[in-house]
Amino acid sequence: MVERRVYGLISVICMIFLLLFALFPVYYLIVSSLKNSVELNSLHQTLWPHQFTLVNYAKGFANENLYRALSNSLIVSLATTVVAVAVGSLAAMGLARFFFKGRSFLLNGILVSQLFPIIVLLVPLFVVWYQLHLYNTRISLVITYLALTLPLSVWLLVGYFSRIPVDIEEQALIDGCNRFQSLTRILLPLSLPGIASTSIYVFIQAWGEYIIALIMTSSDRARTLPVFLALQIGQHSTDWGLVLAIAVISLLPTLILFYFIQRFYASSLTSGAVKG
Amino acid sequence: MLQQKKITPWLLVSPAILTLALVMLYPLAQVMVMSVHRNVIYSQTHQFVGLKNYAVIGSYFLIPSLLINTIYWTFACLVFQFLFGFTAALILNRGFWGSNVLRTMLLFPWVISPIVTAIMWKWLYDPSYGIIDELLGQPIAWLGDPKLAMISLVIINVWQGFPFWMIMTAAGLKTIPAEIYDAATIDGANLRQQFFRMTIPSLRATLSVTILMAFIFTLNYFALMQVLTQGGPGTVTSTLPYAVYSLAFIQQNTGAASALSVMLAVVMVAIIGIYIRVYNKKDD
Repeated sequence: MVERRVYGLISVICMIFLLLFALFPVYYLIVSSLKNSVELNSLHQTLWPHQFTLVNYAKGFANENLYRALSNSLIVSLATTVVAVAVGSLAAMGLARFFFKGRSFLLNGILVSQLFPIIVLLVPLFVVWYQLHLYNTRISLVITYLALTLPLSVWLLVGYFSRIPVDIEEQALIDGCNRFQSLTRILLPLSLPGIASTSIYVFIQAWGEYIIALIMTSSDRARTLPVFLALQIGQHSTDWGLVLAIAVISLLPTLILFYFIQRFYASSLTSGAVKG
Repeated sequence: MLQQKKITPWLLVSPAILTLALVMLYPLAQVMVMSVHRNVIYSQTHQFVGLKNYAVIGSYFLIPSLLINTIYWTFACLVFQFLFGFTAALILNRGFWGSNVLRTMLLFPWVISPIVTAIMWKWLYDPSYGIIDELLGQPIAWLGDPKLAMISLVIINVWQGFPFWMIMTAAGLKTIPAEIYDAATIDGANLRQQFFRMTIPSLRATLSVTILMAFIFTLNYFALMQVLTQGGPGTVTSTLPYAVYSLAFIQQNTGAASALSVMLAVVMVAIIGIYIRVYNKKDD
């Protein structure tokens, strides 16, 4: 019993440490973005602002380039989400509802492409899009993000579709639906929660992606929010109020969306790995 | 199973396959071609130079330090991600009141984008205005001190990466039936024996996949270096992936950058191959 109590005490201490470690940076980012410039430029920072202010956000939203970056990010992320879920659902239907030669090869290939080292793509992707005259466009970002998010999207959707019994579709076939109708009218509507969760995963990935957006954009025409944010850090001086406010603007959609899918996401991600 | 038409599944899968081929396989071929040519993009000429780019990389005096930095970065990040993530999983696995809420909160760092992460920590680490120095009561140049820069980046990566280990190992722990612990307790095994003789061996399969995925993610992750240190001070935070970026987009030498990324990919595939073989052998 003493042994169990000691381990219990250690657990509590570890958990408090981990919670502080995980949450303090997020807390401090948000709280700091609400400090005024006098407090931000003080050599004695405080854990709680003396005075709350939205002046940094006002400054951010007065910046026309922020709107440009925000709309680029929204367009790219939404377009990637729609296309990835459409293409991913088709592939997942093929993989979850048909048994054909090469099926397990494709399933494994898609899983392994998750592990593709992106660094190898860095230079050639830039060159390929440059030669196709798609450098510095949103469409090249959408296609690239599509490829990066497809493997896990297909994997999540296959898992979801497989959990839906085929009996209903078989019944629909007997009642005169064709194969395609049985997928679009029966399987897809039944899978809406899985599709919603996959959409959120894709959106979060596209919304936050930085390195590829950095090398494939050169002006406000296609520059997304993460790249815009990185450019606000000055070589010598940084307007911290503005930077922190933009960081929070970029962060909040992610945290809110993630809250809705975390359970589904965690269980789907691990199901392949743990059983496999 | 439903009545089958052979062509239908292939039609359904083809858009996904085509996208992956365009964005992954074609550039993969392209990078090999580029690695035997001079500066394809900036000079607009396609001069074949054979293995010259590889020779340049091979004789590059920085390679040994880049290698050491890469190994240090990957190893340190993985070890601490594991320790933090597994500890969290072990505690949460007991399923007390509120453990689901705690789990969600601990997952947050994992979904925060690299750039927000970098800025968040730059603000925490700031030598003049940073709260960490304020709390410690002394000014420390976390990212500017050659001795501290790498470990400062490792801390950020551990913060971002430990939740991944937490959910993976938590899923592994769930597969261990509770009855075997009850039986072990009756047989007189203490908690430490149960942990090392039962828990750890049961997680072999989970750990093998998690190590593999985390190894690739971590090794390839260089956004922090790009935003926070530019590989410096000096070259102490330059890892191989950062060097590929810097060669291609700062020094504008796409040939050498391609050669380095091909070499990096070959080394990674070799390490992964050896790892899988060793792991499978131990299973027998």
